[in-house]
Amino acid sequence: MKFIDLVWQECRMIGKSILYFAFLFVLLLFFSSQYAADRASDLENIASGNRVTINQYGEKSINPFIEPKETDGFYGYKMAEVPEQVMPRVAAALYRECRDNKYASYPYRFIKWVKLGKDKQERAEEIFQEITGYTISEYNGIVKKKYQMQQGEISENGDENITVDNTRFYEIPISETLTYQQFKERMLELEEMIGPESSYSDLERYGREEISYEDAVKEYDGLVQKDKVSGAYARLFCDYMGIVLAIFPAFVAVAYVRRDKRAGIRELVYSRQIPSIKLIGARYLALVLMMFLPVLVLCIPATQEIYSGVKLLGLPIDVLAFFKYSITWLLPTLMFTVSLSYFLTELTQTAIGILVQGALWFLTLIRTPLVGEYEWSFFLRHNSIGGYAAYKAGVNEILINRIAYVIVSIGLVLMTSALLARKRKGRWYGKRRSVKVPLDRQ
Amino acid sequence: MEKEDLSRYLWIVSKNFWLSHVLNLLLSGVFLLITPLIFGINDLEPAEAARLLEQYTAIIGIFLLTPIFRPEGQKGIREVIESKYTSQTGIYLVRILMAVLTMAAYILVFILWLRANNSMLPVLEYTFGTFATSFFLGSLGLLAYGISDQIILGYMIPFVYILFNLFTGSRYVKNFYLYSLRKGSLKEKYWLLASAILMVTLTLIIKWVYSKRR
Repeated sequence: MKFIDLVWQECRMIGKSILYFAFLFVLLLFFSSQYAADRASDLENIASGNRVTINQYGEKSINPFIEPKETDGFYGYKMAEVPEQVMPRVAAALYRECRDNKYASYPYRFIKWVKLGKDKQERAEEIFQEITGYTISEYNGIVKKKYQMQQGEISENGDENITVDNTRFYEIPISETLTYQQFKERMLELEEMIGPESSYSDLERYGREEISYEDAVKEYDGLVQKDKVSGAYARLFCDYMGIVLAIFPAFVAVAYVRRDKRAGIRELVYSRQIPSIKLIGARYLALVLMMFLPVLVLCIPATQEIYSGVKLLGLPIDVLAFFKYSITWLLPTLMFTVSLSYFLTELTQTAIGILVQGALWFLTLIRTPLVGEYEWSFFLRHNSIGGYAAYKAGVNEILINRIAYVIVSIGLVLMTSALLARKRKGRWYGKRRSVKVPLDRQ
Repeated sequence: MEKEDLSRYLWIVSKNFWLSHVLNLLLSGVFLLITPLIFGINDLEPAEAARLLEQYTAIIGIFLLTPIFRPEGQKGIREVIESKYTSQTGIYLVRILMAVLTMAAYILVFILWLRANNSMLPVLEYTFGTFATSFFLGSLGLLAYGISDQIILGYMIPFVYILFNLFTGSRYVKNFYLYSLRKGSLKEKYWLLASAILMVTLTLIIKWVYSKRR
C-alpha cells in the first residue's frame, strides 16, 4: 500500500474515533468561550469610534484602533518601576509581612506562606529599618496612633487593647539617605531569603506612569500598520488554541495508539511486512493532519470577523495572518504533543503519556508570563492584542524555539519507529519471566 | 442465606480492594502527599485554603472513581464476568463505595493536616464542599467512561470541565461551578453532589443495559 493511501486510511480511522470528536468539541469550546469572548468587546470598541472610552469600573480606557492625536492629552497607563512609587509601597508590604513573620510567595501561582528562621527574620527587620529608618516596634506605635486618630479616640490614656491588624495603609515613607540601587539590593536579599515570586520580586507592578504620545503612536502603528490588526488577533488566537493543542491531542494520540492493544491485534500488526517507519510515520502524520485541519478551518471565521469589524474604520488587514501564525506557532506545538505522547505510549503501552504531557503543560502554563519571554516554552503565550514590541523583540527566540520543537518531534517519531522495529523483532516486548520446566525422568 | 451473602460481599470487597482500588488509593495518596512540595499548606486564610482544596485536592476524585471499570476493560474478561451468578452491578457498587469513602477520608485527613499547620478553615463545611467537587469530577469521568468504554475519555472530560471552570468562572456553568467555596458559597455544592449521585446511577443503569444487550 502506498504511503499516502495508508495516511488516508489512518485519517478515516481517526475521524471515526469518539476521542477525536471530544477533541473537536474542546477546540470549539475554547474558541467560542475564550477567543471569541475577548474579541466581542474589542469589536464593540471598533464600532464606537471613540479613542477614550469608560470601562465597567468607571475608569478611562483607551480604544487601540483609533489613531492617537497630540491634542488628546491622555494615552493610558503602563506599569513602570518608578522609585518614588515603588519604595513606599514595598516598604508597607514588608512591614505587614515582617511584623507577622508571614511572607507570601507564589512559586506556582498558588500562595505559599513562608516563615523565616530567627536569623533571617532579624535580617528582614534590619532591612525594614534600613529602608524606613524605623524598627518594626517603632512603626507599630505609629500605626497604632494613626488608627486611633482615624477613630477619633486619641488621648493620653489611649486604649491599649487596640490592635494594628485592621489598619489599612499602603505606603510608608522611605529614609531620605537611601538610594534606589541600595533599595533594590535589599529586595534581592529578601527574595533570596523568601523564595521566588514574593512581594519583593517584579517591582514594576508597584508603579505606573502615563503613556506618552510618542509611545501611543508606536503602539497604534504596531497594531494597525505593522500587524494590520489581524496579526495581533492571530497571536491571541494562537495563545488560546495553543493551550488546547498542548494537551488535548495527547488524549487522542494515546487512545489511538492503544487501539491495537485494545482490539487484541497488536501481534497481527507486528507481523505485517510494512516497515515500522512507514507505519509510525503514516499514523503520526494522520494524527497531526486530523487535529490541525480544524484549527485551519477556525481561521476562516476568525479572519472574516476581523475583516468585517475593521472595514468600518477603513483599516488594513492581512487575510492570511491567522493561517501563517497557526502554521508557525501552533503546528510545532501539536507535532511535539503528539510525538511525545506517541513515543511514551509505544514505550510503556500505558496511558502515562497523558500524565507526562499534563505535568509538562501545567508547569509551562503556570511559569510562563501572558506576553513575551517565549524562551523554551513548548506552547507560546501572547494573551494580548497589544505588545507588538515584545513580539518583535522575541521573533528570533520564537523562530529558534519553533524549529527546535519540530526537530525534537521528528526525532521522537524516529525513536518511536526504532522502538517498534525492535519490538517486532521480539526485543523489549513485555515482561519476560523465567519458566521452570521440569525434566522428564525416565 | 443472608450470612452467606454477607460473607460473599466481604470477600468481594477484599478481592476488589487489591484488584481495582489499591493502585488508585496509592496514586491519590502520593498526589496529596506531594502537595507541600508545590503549594503552601501552612497559615492559609479560608479563601486560600479553599482554592487549594477545590483546585488541587478535589482532583483525587478522578483518580479514585473514574477508573473503576478498568479490571473488566478487555471484552473477553467482561464476557466471562457477566456470565457469573453474582451481579456485576453489585460489584461496581462495592467499588464505588470504596472510592467514595476513601475520597471523603482523604479529604478530611488533608483538611486536618492544613489545620495542624495553622491554616484557618471550618473543617466540616470545607470537607463537604471539597468532597462535593471531587465526587462530581469523579462521577463525570465515570459517566464518560461508562458510555464510551474508553478510559482515556473518562479522564479527558473532567479535565475539560476543570479548565472550562478555571478559564470562564461561573459565567456559563452557573450552579455547577466547581470553585464556589472560595467565594464562601455552599449552594453550588448541593447541585454538584446531587448531580454526582445522578451520574453514578445513570452510569450503572447504562452498564446494566449494555450487559443485557450483549
